[in-house]
Amino acid sequence: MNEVIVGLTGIGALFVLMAFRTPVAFAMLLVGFFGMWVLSGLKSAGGVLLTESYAAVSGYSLIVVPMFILLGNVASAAGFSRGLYDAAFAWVGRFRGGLASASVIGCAAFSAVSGSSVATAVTIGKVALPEMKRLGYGPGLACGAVAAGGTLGFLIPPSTGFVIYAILTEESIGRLFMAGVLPGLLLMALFIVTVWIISVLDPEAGPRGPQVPFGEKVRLLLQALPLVAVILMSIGGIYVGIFTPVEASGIGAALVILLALASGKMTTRTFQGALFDTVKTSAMLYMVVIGANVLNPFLAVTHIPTTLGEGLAGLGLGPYGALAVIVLAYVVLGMFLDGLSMLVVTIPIVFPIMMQNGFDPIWFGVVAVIVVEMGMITPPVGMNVFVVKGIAPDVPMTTIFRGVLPFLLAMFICLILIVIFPQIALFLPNSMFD
Amino acid sequence: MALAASARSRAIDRANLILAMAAGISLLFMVVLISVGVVLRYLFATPILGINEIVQLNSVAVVMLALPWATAEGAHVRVDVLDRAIGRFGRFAGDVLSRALSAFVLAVLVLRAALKALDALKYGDATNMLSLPIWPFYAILSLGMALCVLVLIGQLVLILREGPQDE
Repeated sequence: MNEVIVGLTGIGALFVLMAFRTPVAFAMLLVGFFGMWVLSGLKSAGGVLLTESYAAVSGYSLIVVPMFILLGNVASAAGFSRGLYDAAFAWVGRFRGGLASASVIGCAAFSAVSGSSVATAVTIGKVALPEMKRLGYGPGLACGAVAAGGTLGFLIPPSTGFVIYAILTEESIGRLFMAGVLPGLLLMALFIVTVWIISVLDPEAGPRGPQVPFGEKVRLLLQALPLVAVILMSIGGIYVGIFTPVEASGIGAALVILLALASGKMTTRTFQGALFDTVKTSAMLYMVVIGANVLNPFLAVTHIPTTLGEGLAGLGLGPYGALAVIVLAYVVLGMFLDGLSMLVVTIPIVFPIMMQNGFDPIWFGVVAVIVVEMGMITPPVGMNVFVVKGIAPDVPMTTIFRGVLPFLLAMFICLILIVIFPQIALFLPNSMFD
Repeated sequence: MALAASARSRAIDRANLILAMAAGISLLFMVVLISVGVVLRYLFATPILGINEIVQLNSVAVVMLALPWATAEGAHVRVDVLDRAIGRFGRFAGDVLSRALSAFVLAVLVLRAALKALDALKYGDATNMLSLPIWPFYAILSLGMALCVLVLIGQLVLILREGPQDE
């Protein structure tokens, strides 16, 4: 049978399996295994299955995943996220829409210890949403700010999205982490501007918070400082070349555990909970990588990425036209798939096409992660929106989706800026170790 | 019969939990090892030789010990947007098919990993730097996946027994 037809059948089967409730990891594993079986026989399929599974679980780079997840879970369990939010609130709460802006800043700060947008939205949402409700914030603005702010978790290092992208494309995790910093800060700034515009247009939606005395502001900032120091140390350590990403994750996790123990805010029970949650999430993520690892050789054998790339080139759209088509496809897929699934399913196909078009692999990683994150807040499947709905059950889903729309626009502006000015993403990775 | 099945299920649950605890301990070991390695390298100029190999092999243990529990807890990401559209029989068929096929493929992996472990033991396969034997890690891969297969089969039996369900 023609390899391309087998490949396209495989991709079709992948989507059918996912539609019929097969976990994404297993869907990729099944298609990869049975596809290789059809093309090269059972012995070869079994060989790929074993080699790729072992390579995934024994890969050195992927070790950052459990480490950084542990770091984020311990920080959350010890209540450090509350400190980050309180400090942000003290400094910007007095402005229009200040609490919503504080939520965005809190999300950005927590993103620097967490690689997941859902975890970021949950952690900050639990603290910020009741506060905003208490001060009479418009539910659309409040929920929109938290859901959108959560997306920073996937962009600001350490980002699970970048780790998965790096593993799938064999790019440097350290460079990708650095590439996410400036776009993450830019997106945070755009979210704050969005909050401010909404609050100016509708002052009742984002009233000013109470004045906090300067001394209290400084005290709250100092309280958040140890965690900020850990963040700066681990991420900064990668930038200046003191640590590899794996070492930075290990040191970061160890320091946060020590901080949590020293603060007395973590009990044995909460620590156990954080540890169990970490190994569970890590196992899930590793299974996704195993699935992607088994699927990739099948896709390579079928020449699907090359064929699609040639087809796209045949349309005569040029590199940016091809990019626009791919971004559009991501936006549509994002309506139905969650970010992680979308990344692992599409990158093996899309990455070679983008490289054929001469784009920078690190830059495209940032673009892909931002587009994937847009999917986290677009209807009907917006994971972050579901998370916020879980924290604020009395707010209708339509209100949350409406509240998220201006932030979606901000993400789109951010994306356009990064396309026009690639240096926003590439400046830090290109200046690493200088 | 039902009692025996229930006891088996409880035994699998207990085994999964114990393995997940072992995974947690392995993870903490990794955190300590990496941190100590960095401290020794920078403060005492004595790097731990072959630390990468230890960490890599340990990561096999962390993942494989936790995977059965994650599977039992339903932690794997799946797309649920079409759950209503495919109806109760679609959901039932999807749940049965996905578990049966996944159990089959993982069973192939269990077998291949077990054979590889035996081969590695027979020929004394070891890591480059520290000459650590690699057969135990293929054995752990096989064990973790075998427990996943048991979990999937257990879920399959439960789904078949309950039949198609409304949401």
